Amino acid sequence: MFHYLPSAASEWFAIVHADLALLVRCDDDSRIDEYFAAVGGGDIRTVLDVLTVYGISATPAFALVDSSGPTAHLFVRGECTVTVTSTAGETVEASGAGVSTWTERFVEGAASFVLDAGSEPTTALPLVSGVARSTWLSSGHTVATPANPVVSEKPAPQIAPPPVLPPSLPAENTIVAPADSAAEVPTESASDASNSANYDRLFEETIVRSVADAAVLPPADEPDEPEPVVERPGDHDGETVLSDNVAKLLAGRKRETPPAAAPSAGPSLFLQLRDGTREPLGQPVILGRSPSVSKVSGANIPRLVTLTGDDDISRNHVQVTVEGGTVVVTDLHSRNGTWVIAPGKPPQQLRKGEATAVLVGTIIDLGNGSTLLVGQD
Amino acid sequence: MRLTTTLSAGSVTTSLTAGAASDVGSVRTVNEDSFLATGSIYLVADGMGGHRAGDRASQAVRESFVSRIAETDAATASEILGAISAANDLVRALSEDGPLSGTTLAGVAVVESAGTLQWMAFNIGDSRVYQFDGRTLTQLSVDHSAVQELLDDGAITLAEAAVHPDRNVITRAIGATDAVDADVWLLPMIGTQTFLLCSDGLSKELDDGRIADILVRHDPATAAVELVAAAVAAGGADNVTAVVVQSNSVSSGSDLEHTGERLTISARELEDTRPRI
Repeated sequence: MFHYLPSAASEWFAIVHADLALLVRCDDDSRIDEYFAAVGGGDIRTVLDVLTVYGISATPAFALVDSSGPTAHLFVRGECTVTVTSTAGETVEASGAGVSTWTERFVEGAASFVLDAGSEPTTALPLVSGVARSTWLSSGHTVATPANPVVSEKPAPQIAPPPVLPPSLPAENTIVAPADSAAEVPTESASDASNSANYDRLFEETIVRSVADAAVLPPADEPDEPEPVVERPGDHDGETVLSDNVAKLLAGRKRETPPAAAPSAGPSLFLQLRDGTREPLGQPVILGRSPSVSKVSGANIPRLVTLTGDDDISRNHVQVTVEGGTVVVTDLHSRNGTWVIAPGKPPQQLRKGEATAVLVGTIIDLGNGSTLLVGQD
Repeated sequence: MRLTTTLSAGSVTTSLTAGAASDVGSVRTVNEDSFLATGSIYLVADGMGGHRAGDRASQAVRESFVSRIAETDAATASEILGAISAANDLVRALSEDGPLSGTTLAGVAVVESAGTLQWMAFNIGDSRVYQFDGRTLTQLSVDHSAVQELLDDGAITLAEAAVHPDRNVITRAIGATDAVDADVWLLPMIGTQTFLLCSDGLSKELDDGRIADILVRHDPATAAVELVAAAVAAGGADNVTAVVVQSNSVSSGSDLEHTGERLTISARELEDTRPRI
């Protein structure tokens, strides 16, 4: 996991994904998507190609580190530096100053590194994958050492190894961290048991009324005396009649039915899909490769969102609803499971079929990079 | 009656073939059933109430959909619900200056949601929506009837339900109350899907096997005519109406039928090893 120092007014951007970390000066925001796509591709050479596509003189100042192997591979150009701390405790600094192209270095046994373009001291925030305005980016992605600069920045008493994540997390995760926002991704390690326990209560608690239950009609009243309206002849003449006591029956039902869920918490809660589209959570949303719903009663029909392009996603994978102002996520017995990453928490796999309340800012991960962000305007 | 329509949204394109038929039956003098089979909307309404009130009620439902839903495009789920609600208002208004009237409604519509097409099935009363997969007939809708409630409670068996004296008593209808809730199903549009919508005059005369037998032998237009003819021949105690609609959908997206098993960690690593630079 990377940490960055947010710097809202900066022209520098920290862009990270998996083992690639890029700090780039970018006057023209329109290239950010290209940079992120290149970093997301995982190949440092592609990133270099994208940075230099308009020629050497038009290439921005940048620092780029690939730490996928035991040997860190770094490039640095212009007024920024890369400092690598090896497992032996030695530091190697590379700078782009005084070079018309860029400096390239390989550093063996790299434990952590810092990309710095003139940082101001603020609080370091974690970043698994994404883009943030920042002039300082650090990685403790291997075993952290006491020299790790994150230590001094974070209020946490100690830095533990990064959380042990499910196979598809978070390397495949894509989020875009707003420059000023609080953490979008875990800050606590999995081993931070005492702290986790406090929050687990919030995230694992099952709400009493499951969504599925709510969608099903209450048990039918047994019509003890179905009071026929007309005198029927010996056999049925096929005429359909509406029972006299239907009104009573319906009235009885109305009392049993919980009051129609108010459009709780206003329409401001939404689900942001990976392509940036927002699904308002005014009605339940069911997401999957080929979603369907069965026998729901008129008023609150779920909206079905088809997630294409990944066969690992189940037909009905996950349901997101708002109940009493709280966003509730339910894994619909998907084959490959659903994870939720609450702000500042490690990913947590949902129990199948169990409704789980989540906070705004939570990322819902269906695996293989299919992520949803719970947001609020 | 043969109809063909093509609809598309996002990556899904579907072509619809439909047929519909209705008969007054052997006993009644007035056909109180109405149907609609056009564009994206397919429905059957079985009106009830004397002195042509049922007739007008079921036609009001049809008119509500015709006036509110565009014929050429897929509707939205809320448009369908709006048409049902408007139909309820129309039928309520009919009852104000005449005998109490009401009607059932069973239908399917192609609706657009989040850039893709879905089948939306809806039901109020004891008309039915069946799904036919080319082999098996499945009843999708659940009757709003006294007998269905007895069945749900386990008070009677399916065989007893077929001859139960109250099998004509329905518990939910358009026009019965100021507001009406339809049961709704949403289904992905995949491959070939066939739906049969029918009034109880058909489902009470023909068993599932007989219906499936007719559906498997004929295209939708012929099947609708054959089904109605068979129900009339079997007794025709009530008005008989059938709408058969078949969709052939093509999606340019990924395989919608099967969920892939995610690779294990080791398998992933084997495949994802990066070239060392």
